[in-house]
Amino acid sequence: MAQVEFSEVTKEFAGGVRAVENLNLRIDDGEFVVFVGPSGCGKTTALRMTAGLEAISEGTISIGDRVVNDVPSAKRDIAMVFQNYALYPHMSVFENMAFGLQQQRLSKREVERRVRDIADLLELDQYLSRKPRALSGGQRQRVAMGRAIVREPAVFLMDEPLSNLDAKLRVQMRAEIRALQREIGTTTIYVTHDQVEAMTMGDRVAVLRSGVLQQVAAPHALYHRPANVFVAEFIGSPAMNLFEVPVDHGRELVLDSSERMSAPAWAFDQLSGLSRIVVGIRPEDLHIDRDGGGLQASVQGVEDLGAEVIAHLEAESAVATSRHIRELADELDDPRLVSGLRRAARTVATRSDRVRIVARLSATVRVREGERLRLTFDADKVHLFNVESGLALKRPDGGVAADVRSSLSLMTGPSLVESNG
Amino acid sequence: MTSPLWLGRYRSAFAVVVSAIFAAPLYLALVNVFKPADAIRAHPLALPLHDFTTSNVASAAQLSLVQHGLKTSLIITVGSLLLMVPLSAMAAYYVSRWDSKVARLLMLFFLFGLMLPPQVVLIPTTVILRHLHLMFTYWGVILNFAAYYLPFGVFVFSGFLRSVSRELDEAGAIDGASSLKVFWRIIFPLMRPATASVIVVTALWTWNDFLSPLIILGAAHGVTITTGIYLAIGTYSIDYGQEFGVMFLASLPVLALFLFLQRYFVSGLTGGATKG
Repeated sequence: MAQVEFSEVTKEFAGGVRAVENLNLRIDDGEFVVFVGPSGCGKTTALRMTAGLEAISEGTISIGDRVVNDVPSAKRDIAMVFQNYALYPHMSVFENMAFGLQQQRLSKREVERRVRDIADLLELDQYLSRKPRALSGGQRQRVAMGRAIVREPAVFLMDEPLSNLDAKLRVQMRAEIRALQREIGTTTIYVTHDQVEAMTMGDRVAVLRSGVLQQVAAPHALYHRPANVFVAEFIGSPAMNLFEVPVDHGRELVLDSSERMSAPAWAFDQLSGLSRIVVGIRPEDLHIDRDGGGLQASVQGVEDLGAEVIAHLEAESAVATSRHIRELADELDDPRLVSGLRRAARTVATRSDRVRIVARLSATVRVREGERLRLTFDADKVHLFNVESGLALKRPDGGVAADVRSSLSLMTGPSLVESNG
Repeated sequence: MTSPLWLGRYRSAFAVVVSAIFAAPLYLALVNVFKPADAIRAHPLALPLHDFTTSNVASAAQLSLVQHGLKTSLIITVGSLLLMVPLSAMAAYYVSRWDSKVARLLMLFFLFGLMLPPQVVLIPTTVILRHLHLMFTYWGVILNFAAYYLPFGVFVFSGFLRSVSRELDEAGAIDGASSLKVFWRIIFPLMRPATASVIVVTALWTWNDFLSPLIILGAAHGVTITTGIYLAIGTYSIDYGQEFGVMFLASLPVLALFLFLQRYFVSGLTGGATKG
């Protein structure tokens, strides 16, 4: 068991591509940290550098107290679970799990004992003599995990181990892996592109984009205090609504030609001098107000999920825009944009340049397609981001900067940010 | 121009004719092995229906030249394989897995080797062997074969290695195995088809080689089955029947090897052509 420290770590590939840029991160002993981000964000490269499978261009990575830049993979005391499992095809499950221990020159009896113990734990005891090709995907995944666990390494490295499993198995394995890690207590770095996995599994989550660490914090902090527009948009499903509005006298947000709302008090200082600001509001923080104030919008589509209703709307505001932010969204390889409804809403919005809004409403609220209504939200639920930099305005409760750790809060119950999938 | 499948309905007839031409020598050899000598002279093309005999094979097997020749061929072929297969497999592993200038240069080097006709390098090889005092020894022939066929082995193995996932190398390294261990315990066992085809093809070429044993070993110091047959025909006055028996015995070992390994043969040569 050991802590892992990234210090100014950079990876540059031939041709000048910088996959990881100045990564600074400290992972505590026993922590489960998830690296998450869209394809190409550098999360896998960072993991592979930790494993010794990629050379480190600049900076140092330390495992425990020693810098491991020049230490070969075999000597780093790490174990890795690959996305495609990488089980040795010609060896049985037992031999697969025993291989690493044999390299450590353990006695036959010790090897046998450890393998059987872990096989029991993972319910693989009946499959010990089988070859990988005779196992199901879930069983292979467990063998891959068993092979890593049995070595009792200082650090576990996991590269999207659940992406080849079907959805149901994935949900089940998520909980099992997390429970297992808590029981064993080994420091773990887990890479995924799925923000739901990240939020439900991590003690802390590191969000990466184009090789740069955006924010690292406990899931709760990531959700409620995103450090910039990217993190705000990436975390949470349906995504946070983001749009740009003019600011009046550093105190008022101009939602429409006749509609204004007061900005939250804590932001007054930072808003003075700014003419425009990005407003972020989560779908669940929007309320329908048919005749009061708020943002005028028309309903483009409705998704009735039974327990709640997701409404897709188009704001009729002449001053609010989201083109700049949509460019950001386009760059995200967003697997959530699967719903044809969403895709349709997006195409319509792109053509008309209107702001798209997604609202999460309780099942009792009735909305119909084509209906026009007003959306309101509380000022204290609003997130504000600088138009130029995309950085969040600082809150009085500290907020979270890009590489400042927040307190380590373990996720115990169902996540606050579980998507409705 | 008509479609590529020209000849139309004459296609099958054409195929039969070509096959017959290629099969003719084989046919002649096979039918005449089991016929007594005078029958061979009388009607060489007839099937051995009435006068089937195994005496040709039996008398050939008793010839000391044949026994000595088979033994020598076996030593040389096995020796060459034992040296060449592991070396070419390891070289192929390095050349295809390591991304370095040295690796790329080596690959070019091996490809050049593939293009050299044996006759061109035979004389320079004898010069080297003479300096090493290995002329007229079994080792001289073995080294010659191992070196000459090494590029072929590297070529086949590196082609096949493309279909062996690098993640296995990585998993092995993380499990604590050195590169050598990763190769021998994880990668090489997965290359069985390639190994089988390298063995079969190299064994065939080595076994049938006439020039190398003649020049390097020299008839005075030892005969392989190939040089043995050559000498036998001139030196001794053997009858046709026995000659056919000798030829039959000479082909048997490699044929047996091929039959034994044939299921790996094709997949070994084409493995790596497409992923997975």
